[in-house]
Amino acid sequence: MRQSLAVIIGKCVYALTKLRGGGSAFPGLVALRIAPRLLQNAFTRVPRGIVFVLGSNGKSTTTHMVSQILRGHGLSVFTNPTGANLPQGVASSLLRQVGARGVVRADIAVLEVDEAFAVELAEILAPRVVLGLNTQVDQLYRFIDTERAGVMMLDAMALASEAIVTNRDDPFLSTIGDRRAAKTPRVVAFGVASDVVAASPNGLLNAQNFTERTAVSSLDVVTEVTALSDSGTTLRTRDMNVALSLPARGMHYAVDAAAAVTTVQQVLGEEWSADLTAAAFAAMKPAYGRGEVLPFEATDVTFVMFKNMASLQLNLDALPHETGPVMVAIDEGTPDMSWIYDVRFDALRHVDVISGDKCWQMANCLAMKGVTVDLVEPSVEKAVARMRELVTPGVRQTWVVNYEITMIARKLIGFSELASGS
Amino acid sequence: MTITLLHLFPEDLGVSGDSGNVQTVAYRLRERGFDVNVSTYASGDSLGDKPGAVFIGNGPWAAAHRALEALAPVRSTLRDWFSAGVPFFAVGTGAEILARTITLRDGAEISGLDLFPFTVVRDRDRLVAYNDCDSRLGRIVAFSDLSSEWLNDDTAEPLGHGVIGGKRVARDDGVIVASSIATQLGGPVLALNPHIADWVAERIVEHAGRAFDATPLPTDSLAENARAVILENMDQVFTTIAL
Ligand SMILES: [Zn+2]
Repeated sequence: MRQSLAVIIGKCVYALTKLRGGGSAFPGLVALRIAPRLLQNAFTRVPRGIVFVLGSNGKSTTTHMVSQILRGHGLSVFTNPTGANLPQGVASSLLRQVGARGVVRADIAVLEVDEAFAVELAEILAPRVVLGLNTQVDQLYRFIDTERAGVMMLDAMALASEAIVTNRDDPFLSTIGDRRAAKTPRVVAFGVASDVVAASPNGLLNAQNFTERTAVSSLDVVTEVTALSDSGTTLRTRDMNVALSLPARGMHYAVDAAAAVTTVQQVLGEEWSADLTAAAFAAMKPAYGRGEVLPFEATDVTFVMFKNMASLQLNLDALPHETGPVMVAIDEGTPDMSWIYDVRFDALRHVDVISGDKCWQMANCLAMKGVTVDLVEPSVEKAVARMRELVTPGVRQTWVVNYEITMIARKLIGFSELASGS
Repeated sequence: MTITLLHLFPEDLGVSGDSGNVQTVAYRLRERGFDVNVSTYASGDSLGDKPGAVFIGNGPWAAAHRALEALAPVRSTLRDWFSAGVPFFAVGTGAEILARTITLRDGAEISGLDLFPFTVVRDRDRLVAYNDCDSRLGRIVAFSDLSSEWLNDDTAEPLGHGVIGGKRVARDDGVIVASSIATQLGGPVLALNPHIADWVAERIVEHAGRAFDATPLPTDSLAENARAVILENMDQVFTTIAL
């Protein structure tokens, strides 16, 4: 009864917050207050169990990939939208997708989970497979010690009931095999061939591990990124070369694809099909704001996510040679961006407009780095208006924006926002 | 004449944008007509000749501890430079290993390189917030992520006195000794506060026996606007996790 009450009240709160404009984790928080076991109860009838996706960067993209591959194999999938990765965010996404009884009706659930809540959620939801993508320096004000985030992910990965999927090239997550007392759950790994890493301007950018001085693991690498092109990647897996198109450019998306394919193989076993996987990738759109291309007047815009040093560098490294007119817009949603000084902005020799609350900080950094900036305009509305003036038909623009400004900018060019959960 | 800025452990100790402090000083010296060379030091490297200044940044304690072990054999060289007036600019855990002693979370006390006159207790609760400090070098607006307490010697001069965050917690920051500064302020602090960067630049130039022209630079208004935005957002609450 509590479950239904929580869901009904939660749904009302959701409708109200939506009227106010903007999704949030608040309805989920309310529902969890009413029914603390909301999440446990909701996922009891998911026959194929739950998959967790953990990582500093790429959670949303990879969750999307895993979901789409599974759907391509004919499964119905419950998933949480981008960024809704705290317990209240998962609860909020639940409220939108379940009926009054509050029970998820899907074959499988694929959830991106915040590092700090991964153990808590794993204890509640008993995931069958847990994927650990990477440990990169993220949101420094939360994780001054990156190893803390790495350890939190390792602890949660160890709670998988059936399989752990880990990143061979990650100095933290690759140690998972050493942390496991028994043979269950099984551990499999994905990785990137060394020549592919060497060809990337700034490498993989995984955080260094200062605590495990001899982080040597014998991991069973079942999927490897062996080639990268402008539009896709080739994975070596199950003694096959599988060519996939990627939803956006960049080596990190190929790594995410390798992780997703490995994870789906653990879920489906012999049911996994390379052809259905390739078809799913061919139809895939980028996750919200992650390399997404949206039409804008007589041209279109690539959204480049500004989140942390590693992801921004990898995104910039993946930009095409011609970036077209460039806007960079960051607001207080990224309160500490001291790491911009560690980023190589060579890909952006020129920026047309810098915007958002943080525009002055960004402009100061770029000026010292010798990047030409035409205009600093704190108002995002005015900045987008300026970009509208700069539209040349067919010349794609590049907008480097943080999560909060992605939502504002999408709206300004006529796209609705999604519910956010964090 | 080329001024060398020596940056210690830029890869391992750089989580608060510490290369930005080096970039800012280098930029300001170059804009004033000096040739600047940034050199880096990591475990196993040779320290090289006496530089124009030494920078060290903030990072995970495990990385700082490794840096401390790596620097122990060259401690006397660093001390000679320090007492000869080579400016040191040290931030966070990189500064902590240059202190007298460090008390770790498990209660163990270890020796630092003993350049700066303070001791460190690495056991405080996380305090993450914007900072607004007064100092004799001018107002300093910055960001800090504190997980340790610095206790200055009685005679040591703090870098600044100020408030931190929306709750306006009163707090002294850092220590200033002759031409050198140790601080817990990030942002990076010198990029946000060019007047402090110029103070460091001037000490470097002075030590090299040259005159410094502290004419403001065109980018200073960008930093000034950035500080104003931070002051407007002093109440910003930063979500943290316990260590
Ligand atoms: Zn232009």
